[in-house]
Amino acid sequence: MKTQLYKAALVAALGLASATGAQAQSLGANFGVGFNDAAGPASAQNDYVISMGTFTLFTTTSIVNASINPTTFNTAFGLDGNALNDVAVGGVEGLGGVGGQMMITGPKPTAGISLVGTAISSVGGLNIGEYSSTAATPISPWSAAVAPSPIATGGPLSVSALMDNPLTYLVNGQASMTVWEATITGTSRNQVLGPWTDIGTLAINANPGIDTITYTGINAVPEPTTYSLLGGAGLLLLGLRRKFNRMKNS
Amino acid sequence: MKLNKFTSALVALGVVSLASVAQAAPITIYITGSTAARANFFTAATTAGQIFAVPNAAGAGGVGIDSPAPNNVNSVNTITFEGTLAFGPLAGQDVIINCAWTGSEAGIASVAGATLKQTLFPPDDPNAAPGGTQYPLPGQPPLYLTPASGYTTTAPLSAIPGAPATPDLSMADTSQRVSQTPAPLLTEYGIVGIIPFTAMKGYESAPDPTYGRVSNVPQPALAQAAISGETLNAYYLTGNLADGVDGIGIIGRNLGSGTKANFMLTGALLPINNPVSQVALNSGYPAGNPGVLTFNGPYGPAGAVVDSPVGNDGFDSGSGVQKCLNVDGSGLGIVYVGYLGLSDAKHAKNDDNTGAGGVGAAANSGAAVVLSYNGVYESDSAVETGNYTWWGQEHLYGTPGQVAPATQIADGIVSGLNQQTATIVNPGGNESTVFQNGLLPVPSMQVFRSLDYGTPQQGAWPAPYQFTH
Repeated sequence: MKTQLYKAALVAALGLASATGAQAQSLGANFGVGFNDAAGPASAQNDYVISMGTFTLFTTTSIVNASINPTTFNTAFGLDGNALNDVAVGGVEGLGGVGGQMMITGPKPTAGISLVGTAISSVGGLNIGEYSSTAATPISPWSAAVAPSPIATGGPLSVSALMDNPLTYLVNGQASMTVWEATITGTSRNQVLGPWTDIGTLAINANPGIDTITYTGINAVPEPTTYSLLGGAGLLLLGLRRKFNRMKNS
Repeated sequence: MKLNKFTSALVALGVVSLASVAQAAPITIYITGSTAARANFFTAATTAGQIFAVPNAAGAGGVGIDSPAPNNVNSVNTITFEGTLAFGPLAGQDVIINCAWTGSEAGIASVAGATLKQTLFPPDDPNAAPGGTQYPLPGQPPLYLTPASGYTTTAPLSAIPGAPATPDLSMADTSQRVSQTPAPLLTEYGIVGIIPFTAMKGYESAPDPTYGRVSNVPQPALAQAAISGETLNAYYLTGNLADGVDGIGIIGRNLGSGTKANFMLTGALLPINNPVSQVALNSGYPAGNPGVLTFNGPYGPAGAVVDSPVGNDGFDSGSGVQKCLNVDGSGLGIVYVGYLGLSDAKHAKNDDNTGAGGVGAAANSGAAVVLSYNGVYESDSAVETGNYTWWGQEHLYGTPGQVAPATQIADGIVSGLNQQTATIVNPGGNESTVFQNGLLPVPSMQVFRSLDYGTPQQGAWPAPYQFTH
């Protein structure tokens, strides 16, 4: 299951990349994880947005993995000596209209359909990749469309201005955030936003050599293969302990 | 050059020497892009002394037109012109201009060798997978009328012997810089004119008071209606508290459209890639063409009209928007607002939606109504003086690193279009009273945009805005 989802995320990401070629690529209805560094020097005030794949991958039982490209991360924030604490991160996704939904990290949102609908439009149009936080058209930067930092608000149509600020600072390169989701039902004229539900956790580890992003659904359980790996590791540890004890006793 | 009767007569009269006539075989140029500018291109290609000094008098579709009916009118998306080039070092050369107007963004992508794709989702497109299905945009790759068929049937360039891999040229309502395909850098021939757009409200046979009060679209309300879809109350367009029952439905174009790009950048003033919530009437996605929004009809009666949300998708041609605006939208609780180039707006206002060239009204259809934007109706004067700001710059682009003879022909086309726009006469009035010009000459502008979006600045257009090669 995990492998399949990971493969699906990869296929989705690679498919999008190959299809759009040189385009200024927008997030669309994919879950995007964005990093920025308003707390750092001006040279590090860039946005780095990663698409983790289509929204359907993110359920209460799924696990979705993605990687931070260390070269891109370094290009964006390498000139900040304290990047692993200055850089902020958050996640958003939106698909407007009946049948659509929004996902967002951070505190439990309270906004209604009219504000959420506008925020969804801003989320779908923002650019993925690495660019300046103040990039102009045709780029729609994460900092303007979502938030420039956890303590500041973006443009008038941004997620942070209309709803909540989904960003949090990395602490020693790591962050963990709740992912909330609400679905849109009703009719085209009278759309209804469902309750905001905690569907899972987004964990970031931007430390060198790790560079992972992991979404874990709130009811996700490890796959049998994972149990096997864990079991194998346990047996290995047990064996090592016995060996260690034998060496200690001899 | 084939010796048609007209040319033969000219040769006989000594007006044209046989040596010059026989000097070279025709050169075919494949052009794509903006549907909004196609009517002006049609005029420029069929009027002697503009693109062609002598349009082919023996064209199967009329003077200067090699493609027979129905592909011989200014509203079609595939048409083939022929004549002797009027300007540049290749003046006198027999040139065939084979056109497949697919939309500005699709055109830029095609000339750049890219394929624009869009992801559609259910329930808007019931053919799409739950997580979305990615489709090439309609017109990707563009289909051209083939010489082998006598310009009666279409095929991709790959199936036309001797044709290039990508189209040579594209007209575009915006610059490549703000397009979906900013790279590779195309050959830039510059701005050939200013292209205005207008909003219209759809026909209703039994209009309610709210419909009557919707006469203007303020920019902020236009943006919110585009984002929110039909949830936005008509109140935000009229300011009348009684208009909180009806919603506003935006009928528009798809990702491949320069009209859509200008709707976002110069009309609603939204980032170009922000998803919007558009609708269509009596339209859908055919199973055989699952990613293409298609108008199915009928135009009425009102009880037979179905409103379908299409999200960020829209029609690949202005004619789809026009047809929806001619549908009887009475009784649905929505005032439908569409955005169009002036050629399509004219057909919408005239209720021309059937018959050859889109002339004549279908059963139960009716005329759409021009709306003002920020309180000002579109007009030549309002655009030129900066009172009406919903307009774009019409560019001509060529393939990356383009060389002669394509560059020389493109330069000739620019010169011909300049001749055409120089003959434009301001008709007076505004689009709601008198049909205005769909392409305006740059020198007439008293305002300019240094970029493709936002508020224009006062002053003459900074030179150079055209580039010869």
